[in-house]
Order: sequence, then C-alpha cells, then structure tokens
Amino acid sequence: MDWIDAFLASGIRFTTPILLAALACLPTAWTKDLNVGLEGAMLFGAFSGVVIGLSTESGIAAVGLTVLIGAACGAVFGYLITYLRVNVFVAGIVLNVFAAGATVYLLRSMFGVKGTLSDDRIPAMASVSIPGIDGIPVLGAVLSGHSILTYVSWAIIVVAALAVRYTVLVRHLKAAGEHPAALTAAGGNVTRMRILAQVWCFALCGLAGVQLSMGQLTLFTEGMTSGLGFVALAAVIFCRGKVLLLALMSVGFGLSSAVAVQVNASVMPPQFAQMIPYLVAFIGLIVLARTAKDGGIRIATPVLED
Amino acid sequence: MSSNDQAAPSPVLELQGITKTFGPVVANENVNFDLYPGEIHALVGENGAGKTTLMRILFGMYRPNAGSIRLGGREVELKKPMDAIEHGIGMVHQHFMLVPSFSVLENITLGAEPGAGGLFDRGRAEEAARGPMERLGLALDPSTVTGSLNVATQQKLEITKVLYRGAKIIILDEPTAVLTPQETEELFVLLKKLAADGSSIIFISHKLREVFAVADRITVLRNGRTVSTTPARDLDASAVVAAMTGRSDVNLGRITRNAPEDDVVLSVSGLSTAKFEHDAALDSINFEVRAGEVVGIAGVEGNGQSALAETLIGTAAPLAGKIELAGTDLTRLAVSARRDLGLSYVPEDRHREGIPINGSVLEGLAAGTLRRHRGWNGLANAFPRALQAWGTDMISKYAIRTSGRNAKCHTLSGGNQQKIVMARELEEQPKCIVLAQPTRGVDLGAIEFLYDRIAEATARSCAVVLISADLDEILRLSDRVLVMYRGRMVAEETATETSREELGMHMTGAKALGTAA
Repeated sequence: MDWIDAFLASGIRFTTPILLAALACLPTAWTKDLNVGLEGAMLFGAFSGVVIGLSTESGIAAVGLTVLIGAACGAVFGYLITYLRVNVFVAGIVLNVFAAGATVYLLRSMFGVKGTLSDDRIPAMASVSIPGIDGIPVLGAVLSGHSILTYVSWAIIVVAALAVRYTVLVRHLKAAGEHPAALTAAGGNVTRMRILAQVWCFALCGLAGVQLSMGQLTLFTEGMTSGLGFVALAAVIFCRGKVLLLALMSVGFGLSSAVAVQVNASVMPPQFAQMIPYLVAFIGLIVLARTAKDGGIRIATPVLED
Repeated sequence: MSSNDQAAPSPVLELQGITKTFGPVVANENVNFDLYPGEIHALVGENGAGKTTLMRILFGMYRPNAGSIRLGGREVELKKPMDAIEHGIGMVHQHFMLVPSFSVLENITLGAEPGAGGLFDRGRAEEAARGPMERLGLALDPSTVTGSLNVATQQKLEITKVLYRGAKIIILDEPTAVLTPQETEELFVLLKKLAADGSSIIFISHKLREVFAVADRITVLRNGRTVSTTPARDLDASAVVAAMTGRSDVNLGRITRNAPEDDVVLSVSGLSTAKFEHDAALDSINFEVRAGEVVGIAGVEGNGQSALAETLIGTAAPLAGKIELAGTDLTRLAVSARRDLGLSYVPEDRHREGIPINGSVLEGLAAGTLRRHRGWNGLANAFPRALQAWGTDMISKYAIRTSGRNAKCHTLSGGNQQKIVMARELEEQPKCIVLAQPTRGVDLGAIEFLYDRIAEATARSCAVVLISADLDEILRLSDRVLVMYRGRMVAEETATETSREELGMHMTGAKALGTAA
C-alpha cells in the first residue's frame, strides 16, 4: 500500500500550486478579464519568495511580502487593462514572456547563479503533521504532512464557495463581467470590480509561486512553473465559474502529474509520462468544447467599440 | 400648462434651458421639459433629435453645459446615476439591464442589496422585492434564472427594479421595441395604473401609435430643440410627424406599388436548420415569392427570422429542405455564388455586417464590385477612377448625406448608413432581395426614401423578402404577410385584409394554424 500513499501525497503536493493559481484566476474569469499571465505571476512569486526568504531568513516575511507585492502588481495590471485599456489577453502573454526573461536575468545579476539558486538559509515552509491521522494509511497521506500553504488553499476553497453563495461582492464581480452596463446603471462600479479581481489574482499567484519554491524544496529554478499556470488556466476554463468544480479539476490535474512522476520507467519512458497532465488538460478542453451549449468559451475576443 | 383642468399642481420635475454639446455637435439646445405628478409625458423625435441625450442628463450620465434641473421645486445637481436614483428617478433602458445568469431577486436588488457586512440577506431581499413585484402583477419565483424569462416578463422586471429603488419618476426609453402588440397593450395598462398611483412617467418613443395610446402630453424634439409641448388630445399623428420632421408631406400610409407578377422567383420548401445561438431553429419552412412581390415576415424576435435570413443568403447551412431562385437550386451554393445568381441581402446588424463601420463610404458602396475581383484580379487597383465617379453618383442618387465618398461610415447617421447598404444591394439589380430589419434606427424621412427605392425595385420585377419586427412597416409595404413562431410559419395573411391585432395573435402562437407547416 506504500505506493498508494506515496502517489496520493505527491498528488496533493502537485495539486497545491495548481489549485492556488486556479483560485487566483477564477474572479478574473467572472469579470471576463481572464488573466492568462498566471504562469508569469507565479514565477515572479516563486522568485520573490526565495529572495525575501534569503534576505530576511523568515518564511512568514517571505509569504506575507510576496502576497503584498502581488496585490500591488495586481492593482497596476488592473489599471493597465481598465483605465489604459490594454487588451488583457496581450498583457497576460507579455507578463509570461517577461517573467521568464526577468527572473533569469535577476538570478544572474543578483546572485551570479545560472539555472538553480539553492541555499541553506532559504527558510522552508512548515509542514504540518496531524497527530493521530498521520499514521492511518491513505487518509494520513491525504490529510497530513503537507505544507501550511496546502491547508491555506483548502481554506480558500471554503471561503470562496461561501462567498459565492452569500456575498454581494461576488455578485458584483459576476455582473461586471456578464453585463457591465447593468451594474453601472444600478450604481455599481465596474472598474473597481475589474481591478479588484486582478489584485486577488496576483496576490494568490504569489502564494502559488511561494509554494513552488519554498513548499517542499527550498530553491528557485529558471522556469520552475513549467506550465502549471497554463494547467490552472485550463481548470478555470473547464469549471465555468464554479468553485467546487474548479477544486475538483485542480485535484485531477495534480493527481495526473503525480502519475507522471510515479510511473515506472519500465511502463513508459519518463518523457512520455510527463506529458500526461497536459494530455489530460487538452482532451478535457476538447470534451468541454464539444459539450458546451455556447460552443465553448472564447477568451479575450476583441469587441467592436461603440 | 393651461391644459391641467384642476388647480394646477406643481411639477415634480422641471428641466429649463438645457444645453449639451459634444465638441462641435449640439445635442440639446435650450431644451425645456416638465413633468407633473401622475402624468405620462411622451418625448418624441427622430433619431438624433436629442431625446436620449436629454434623458441621460436627467439620469446623471451626462452633465449639461447650461440649464437647470429642478425636482419638486428644488434645484439639484445630478453627477452620476446614483444621484438620480437617490432623488427618486428610475430609468428603464432601451436594452435590458438584467444579468442573464442571475436570479430574479438578484437582478431586482443589484446595486442596493439588503444585508450587513457585504452579505446578501436573501430573506430581507425577498421581503423588499415583494411589494414592487405585486404592484406589477409579477407572480414569479424570485429564484428563477432571469435569462429563461420571456422578453415581456423581463421588461416588467426592469420596471420592478426601478420601483424597488423607490422611484417616483420613471423614464422608459423605447420600451416596446421588443414586445408584441398584445404585450404592448398590457404594458400600457400597467403604466396607466402606475401613473394613477402617483408615479410620473416619461415615455420615449418614435412610434406615434403608442404615444397617442398612452401619453397625456407630448413633447417633440427636433435637432436638439423643443419644438412643442402639447396635450395629446389636441394633436393628431400628422401634426406630430410634421413637428418631428419639419415637413408636412410625409406619407404614413401604405406605399403604392405595382401588382405582383405571376412567375415565382424564390421558392423555399421544407427548410429546417439546427438551433441558432440567439434564434430558434427553422422547422420545415415553405413559401414562395413572386416577381415584384413583397412578402413580409412578421414575428417576435427570436422565432427564427434571423435564422431564415442567414439560411437564405447562405451564411448558415440548412439541415434539410431546398431553396430555389428562378428555378436554380441554391441550397448547396456559397454566398458569392448565390449573389452571382441575383440574390441580394440587407443584414439586420448594419454595423457588423452591413457596412465597413471604420471604412469609407466608397468602400461600403463598392463592396459588391470588389467581390468580383477574383484570382489575379485581386491585385488590381480596387478603386479605379470610374468606380470613384460611380460612388459619387450613388451618393447623389440615394441622397446620402455625407461630406464625400471618402468620409468614414461611422460619421454618418443610421439612415444614411442604411442608404449605403441599400444602394449597394439594389444597384446589383437583384432578382430577389432579402431585407432584414431594413429601417431599424432610421429616421422617418429616410424610411420614406428607402420604401420608395424598394417600390422601384419591385417595379422592375425584383422579389422582396421583408423581415421586420415593425408591424407597421410590414403592413405598409407587403403584399402577403407570413408569421413565424418558434421557427415555423404559423400563418399567412393578405396585408390589406389583416390587422395588427390579428398578426399579434399569430405572433404569440395563440392562433397557430397547422396549414403553413
């Protein structure tokens, strides 16, 4: 049964960054400003966590400051796509390309390192072992022994699901995307909602990034997000705005990533196994497009200005 | 006003000397308007006369350059819609301001949700929405998804929203555009009831029949100025039209045309399609149009009219059935092949499909000619001198008001844009033309001009399929009227022997005859 435990524990580890990034992106899907720059925002988050961790030697400072910086960047991004009317799709892609280049450059100029920055002084996230559950097979692997951010991500699912049901804020976010003129006519503020969604997105992407660089390992590698942001994006497009479905999709992608790692080289070559999560996402998107009533979701389709 | 018989109550609203300019364009110039308690005051005028601008000023969406707004005798400043809402002004917009995926309750309370700490208090929301819903006779489960409601119910929901906000002054901007004649009647009964309860209503329209059916007073705007404010009972339709257009010779009756000929030009049999995104699927449609005949297609929007237009011209493929033009089977042909055979099309969405909105007038006019540049010809000069001269001729022949053939299409009014489309399509000398909502957003003067061009086309044996949501248009132009309901042809009437009421019955499916299908 050990391989099941190992598989599940590894699945949860892969799930956490995907889940955080997907939860980050969800409100931007509501406001119809789908942020495709998750990958870049995560990469910056991972880098920022390591840099701050290294200089302060405090895990809490690394997480807290990264989230704050993320929120500030989200406000700037939101300003760009609302007041300056930059196309959100283009801005997201630029962010991805920019992050890939900027982190490599900063890594070399700040630390003189190529490839991977690894240092004993980088603080690791505390991992939580729940006494009692810890020893139980399967359950222990699923519930116990994860980084603190994993539990944070689960808490965010609950908060988000409750917010959808009970808050005015989520209603305004959704109205801002689905029928902005209606929200404006009702006295709401569309621009504020659109910016707020981006602030949330970047702050949580910061968390997702920190989980990558400090959750299990304590190192930063060039391009270490390796497509997880896009997998999260696929989950967001899949879920059509529903929080629980989003969580389920993220777990699905996390587990398929674990399969890729756990699968024995005698079954299939590892390069092949690594394709599994992306294949799952790709097939899923085709299924979605075939079954959606409105012929799938178009992202950032340019609209004719009045 | 001397027309108020009782000791004159004071007006709830007075707009005095309102002037609003957008750059060099004067949208409102020294406009005066007032509104009494319990009154329905109609604001009429052509497109671009300044009705919408005036109401946007009243709703706090624009700031006037000059003039004052008085509510209940006190001068107020309305800087944003929220100010207007707080002063008891509510607006029912021309396009629905309802979020389709939201519940009825969520839509009613949007922007003023009851509850503390950012939480949505469902119980209190239901409590607060019950009163307005009852006043409008809206017996609905508040958790119904709004997008699943029919348009008439959505219209009532819009008024409910306004009442929920406590509005005493209700502005309705062209509220009947999407309603059947029966639903319109119902709305009028409702408006009169609201007015009797003390609400004051501003009713914006360019449909004179409706204005006379509902209004106590009528104010006419022309070119941004108030022409007159008169009690409705002292006016007749021709006087209002004269005030709106500044002309006294506008024809509002049936267009005189030659009788149709005998040979069938367009023949459609058993035509069916899959479900459209915003329209019903066609369900075995059969009809014929003879040379020189105008066949009107009536129906509430979304009952397959757009699907029919697209299938006829070839932008959508049918599942079954046959389309024949003068004996040639078109069913499997592409759009360009159909056009080569003599089929023309005026699409309903002028901005997206009719004209190059960011292109020039000449490009809009010459699109039919450009289409024939094929193969290596595509590299030839697109606008040789002869074509440019032709464009100038067309501008004068179709009385297109523009600064010249190189002006951008978006600088033209709706009527002049539509003249470009009509000029292009009719100059092809088609055997058959499909007109979808040909005069939507077009002013009265231009409508008359376009109707005369259609009459000329039928005189040279062109068959016309006229798809319109405007029953008056259909009755004025058509020889026969077909009514669509849920993708089927449910009725056929002779235009001169039917009435709006009868067509309205067919449109709701109430009198569905099994014969046409």
